[in-house]
Amino acid sequence: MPDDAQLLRQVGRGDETAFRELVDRHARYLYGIAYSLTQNAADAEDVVQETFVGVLKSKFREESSVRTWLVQILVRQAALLRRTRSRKITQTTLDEPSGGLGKAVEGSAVGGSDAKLDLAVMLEKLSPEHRQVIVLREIEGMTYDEIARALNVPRGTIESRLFRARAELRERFKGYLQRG
Amino acid sequence: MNCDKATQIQSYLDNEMDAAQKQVLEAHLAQCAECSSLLEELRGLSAMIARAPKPEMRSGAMNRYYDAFNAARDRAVLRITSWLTAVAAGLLIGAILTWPAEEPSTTAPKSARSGTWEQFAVMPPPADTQGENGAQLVQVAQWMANDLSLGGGERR
Repeated sequence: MPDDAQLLRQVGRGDETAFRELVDRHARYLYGIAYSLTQNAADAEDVVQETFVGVLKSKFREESSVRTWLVQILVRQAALLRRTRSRKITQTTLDEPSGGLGKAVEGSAVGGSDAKLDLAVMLEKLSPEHRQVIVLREIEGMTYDEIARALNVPRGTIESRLFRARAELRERFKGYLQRG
Repeated sequence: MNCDKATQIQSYLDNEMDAAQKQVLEAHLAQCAECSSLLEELRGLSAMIARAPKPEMRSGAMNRYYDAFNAARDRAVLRITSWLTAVAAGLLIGAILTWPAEEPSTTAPKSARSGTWEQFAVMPPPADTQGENGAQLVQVAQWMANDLSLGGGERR
């Protein structure tokens, strides 16, 4: 069975079967990241589809694993979608009551510390940059270097973003963390 | 956080330290309650995120991704077509701009095109154009009328 890099070479030669194999291997994983980043099933599907279109338009330089490269394309597509959306979203979104950015969520208010919080709820208040690093580190288990490559920012930036994102989550969910 | 080692706790949690760094930090953790507490909180946060239900893909999503292959090919064809159209339009505009300008009247006699009506009037018509003489004289008369009405007198 060909590895991911071999599959990509076959895809580059126009092999549709190899492309389908690549989709089978990575689509679910990519969808998980896309959903966490976009917080929306339809947008997540769009982002994953555009990621696979991106695979056909870009060249894999074997500087990282194929998976990291795919995540890199996906993060770019998600950012592109976010920019497109933010142009369309009117000021009303900004005027909506936020429910208190940075406000702590009490465990008891949503079912106690044993209740599983929906990931979307957990990440919804984070900035896109903070959400990216939390998703890639905590959910996908990528190393700092892999995240830095995927987002094309220095490793130090990843560390500080991650630190601030975690501080924000700790503050927001301290009710859960103290009971857990 | 007051402890200056607090920022290193994250690297320890994420397994981003080498063995020597780990050893130093573990010795610190054994005597710093603040850092130990932070490490526990961060571990709790990671566990909470890991427990969170992961989204499931909707049915039909895989087919959309398979279709990306054709979508990319169609977009490539469209891009090439647009590019070729742009090139063709550019060539057409270039040809229009550089094409030699045509003479204002194609019916004027050759001998008159390079001169004025006065020259034409005093020159005898060529022998082989006797049959056309009448039509040429009418044409010359029209030029004279036009020339004079447009300020031909000023030239004198």
